[in-house]
Amino acid sequence: MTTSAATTYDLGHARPNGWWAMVLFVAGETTLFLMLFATYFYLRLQSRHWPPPGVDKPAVLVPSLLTAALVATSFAMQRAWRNGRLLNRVAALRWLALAGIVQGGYLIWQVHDFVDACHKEPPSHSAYSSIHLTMLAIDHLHVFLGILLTAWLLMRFATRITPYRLRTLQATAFYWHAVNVITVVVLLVDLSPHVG
Amino acid sequence: MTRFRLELLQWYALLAGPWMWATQHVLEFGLTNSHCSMPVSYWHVPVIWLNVLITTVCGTAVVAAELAAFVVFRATSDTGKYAPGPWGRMKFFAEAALLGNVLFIVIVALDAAGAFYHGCNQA
Amino acid sequence: MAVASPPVRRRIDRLERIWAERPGVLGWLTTVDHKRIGLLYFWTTLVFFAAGGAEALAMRTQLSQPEEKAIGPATYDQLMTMHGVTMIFFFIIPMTTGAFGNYLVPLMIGARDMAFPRVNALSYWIFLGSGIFIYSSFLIHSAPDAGWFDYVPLALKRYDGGLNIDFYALGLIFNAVSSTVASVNMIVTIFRLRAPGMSWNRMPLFCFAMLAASLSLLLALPALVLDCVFLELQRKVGFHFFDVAHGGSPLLWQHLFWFFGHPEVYIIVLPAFGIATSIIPTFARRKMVAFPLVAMAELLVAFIGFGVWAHHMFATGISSSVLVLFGAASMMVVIPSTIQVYAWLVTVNLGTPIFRAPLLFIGGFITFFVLGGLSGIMFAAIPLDQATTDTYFVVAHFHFIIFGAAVFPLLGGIYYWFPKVTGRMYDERLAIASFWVTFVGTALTFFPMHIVGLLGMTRRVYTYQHGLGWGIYNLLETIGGYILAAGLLMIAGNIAWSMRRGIPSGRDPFNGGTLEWATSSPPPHYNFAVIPTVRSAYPNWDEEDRENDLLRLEDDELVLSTGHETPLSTVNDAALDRVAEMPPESPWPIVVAFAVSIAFALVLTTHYVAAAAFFAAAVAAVGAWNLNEPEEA
Repeated sequence: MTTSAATTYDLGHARPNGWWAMVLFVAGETTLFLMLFATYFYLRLQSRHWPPPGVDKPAVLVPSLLTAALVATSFAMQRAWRNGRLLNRVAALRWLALAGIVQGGYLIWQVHDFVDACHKEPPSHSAYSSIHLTMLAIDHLHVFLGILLTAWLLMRFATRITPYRLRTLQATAFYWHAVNVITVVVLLVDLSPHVG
Repeated sequence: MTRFRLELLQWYALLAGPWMWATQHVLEFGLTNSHCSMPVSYWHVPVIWLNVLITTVCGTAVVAAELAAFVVFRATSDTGKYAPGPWGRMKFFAEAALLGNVLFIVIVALDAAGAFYHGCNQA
Repeated sequence: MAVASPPVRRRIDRLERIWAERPGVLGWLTTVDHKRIGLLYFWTTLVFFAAGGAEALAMRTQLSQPEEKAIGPATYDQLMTMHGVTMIFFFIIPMTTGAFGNYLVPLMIGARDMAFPRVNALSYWIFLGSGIFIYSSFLIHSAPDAGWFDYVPLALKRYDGGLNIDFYALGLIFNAVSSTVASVNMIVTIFRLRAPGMSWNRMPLFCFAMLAASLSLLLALPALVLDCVFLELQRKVGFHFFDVAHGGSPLLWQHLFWFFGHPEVYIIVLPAFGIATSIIPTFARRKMVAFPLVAMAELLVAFIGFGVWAHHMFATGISSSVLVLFGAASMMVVIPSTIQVYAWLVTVNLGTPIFRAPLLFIGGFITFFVLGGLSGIMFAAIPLDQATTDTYFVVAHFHFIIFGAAVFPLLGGIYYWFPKVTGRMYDERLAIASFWVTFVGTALTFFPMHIVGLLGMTRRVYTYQHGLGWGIYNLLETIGGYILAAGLLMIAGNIAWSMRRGIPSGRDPFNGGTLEWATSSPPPHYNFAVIPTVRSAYPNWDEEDRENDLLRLEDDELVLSTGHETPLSTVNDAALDRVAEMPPESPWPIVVAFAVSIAFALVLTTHYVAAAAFFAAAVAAVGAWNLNEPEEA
């Protein structure tokens, strides 16, 4: 089946194996984050003051705006998948590139803020800074992994679309939806000291 | 009843019980930890009322799951044990859920008892 | 097949050519065939089993007499820790999921391989790398030494400043990568590669057990990985998770560890349940009673097992309301296991059993499982748990379960599937003798531990004083240990001898009900010449369907002899979805595993930049592997 003759590939009726593998991988990573959140609140319950005296509560505005920008890339990834499914390679590539730029920009800004936070309140000072920074670092690592996947797709879609690459895009789009949801929850947990 | 609705009932019957118990268990673990934690004792967590709410919601959902399992079981009573999917599969999961949800009803009740006994002393 | 027509012969020849494995060592290093990978796991885990067994015998020798001086305390701590770590992470889990699961699941579901063959190979090479990594600690006398559970604060740098705990934490994170990818592979295989027609109600109980174990592994391991990450961050970089002075909590380690640790014991025993549910119907010569309830019980025990972790912490001083919460759930987790025990016993009772070696081992399994389960349910009673915590009573319980209830089915399974894997029969009389020696050895080794535990002997001690009344029990246990070792050596000898000299077994010497018995012994590389027709949970007993397969082979229906192919079906009802191209052998899995192994070694020795480079190399290798795409329309 050539691209000139077909308007879409037959990927079968059921979700592909790669999609299921990604769902299961995400389930494992979700458990990892649930354990992180549980640790955060468990340590919180050991402390009368959280954060400890002398430590500022996390900023609200910039992290929230950055997270909103990252969540918006879910739309771009979904558009990329839809266009890919219809064999519109160039359109898919554009949406992937847009997503990649925003994702990369998000990560660079967050890493800069993270390094700043490590200098202001090193993790070696308290359990609060240890869990706060570890939770953020693990989230940023997952964003980094997602960016690697986006970059890989950009490379593969630059030449042609195949069913295999389409399935990779479908699985990657799912990964990004999951990471974006998790990042929102990380943000909410991180900002929880502002409540009460 | 349409096949689509029966399918929905079957999945609810199979999955609601375990996840409702898990929700109750996690929430009550958090509740008792907050209630019994000295540094945050000033929060005065209303253990009893929250426990009643959690147990009522989760317990009702599990009982509903058992009823759903019964409905699907009755609807597939003429289906053979090794009949092909979806009818054979629905019957299989309904039988499994009929057992599982009984267990979860009991665990939800026992967990509630544990949370109602809100003693913070070290045993 | 007695006589194959020329078209059938041509199809089979094509299948042989397409699925042929590369010969020699290179073939084994680059294999992606689930059967070869299963065998690699089998032999490797046997080596680790021997190592763990040697560690156990060394400990038992030291404890045989009061104030024995065969082994000093530091060495004893390392042996004790490595015995636990080896048996759990490098024997039981890889043997059940890696060896038995990999070899048997595709055959039982009528598939030609696992869903991701190259990932399957990767999981093996990473497992091997992690085993070598952690065992290399012995070379520098720095084996992990804080127990397999590695409690803080003992495991913190202040009290254990060498590399011992770093080997432990990094080794387990490394090993978890293997188990995680293997679990994902197993679950997707069970979901998507079942033969058309094998809806959930027709899937073998062994596969339900593997599904439950794999789901548990996938969702439990993150807690252990996170715990080890926290530990390394605290030890290496000075983070504060576990020290109270900076707002941390030592109980955090225990909560996270046991959140993994309790599902872990079900991960260990579930495949054993699966083996029992395969052997019992065959030798009872009837289908399993209450099939849906047994399948559900296997999944239930895995699920409920996630909610009972704090019963390992009853003596830590946590509040009594939390204790009651977990005590209640711990009592309920027994019920699914009990359902299965009743189903097994009723099946044997209603059938016409023939007590050959595999069924004898299952009888031993049920005996030890019930006895170990009785002591286990006693621990759900908080006062008794608190009185017996850290005594040999606990050691007795978990060895009855882990050895008696997990290893016995493995030994029975080795005999049961030996003819399938090798095409030869084992010696039945020697097998029965090996069962009795192993049974007596197990009972003698672990039963007296109940008594000496109630007499007050604490666990994790390298010696004890004269005059406490413990000496005779310890001596009996040590004698039992050597008898047990003799039994295991008899099994090993039987297998080794029979591999070369056993009489040909034929395709199906025991008249098993599941699909692996429908193909030749050993199976061809492509498993089945035609993807089997499935209309029940015991398809090999459906003679009409097996004859129908021969007709379909004539008609070229789902023979798939034009490529390296297997059918994919829908998840719930196993309706045929499409035909997938499977990858041929590949060097990339071993390359990735090698790069990751070097990276972990560099992290251990704090060469972080170099470690990052090797991790990047591993990522690049994964990219290279994905450049090889399947040929599709």
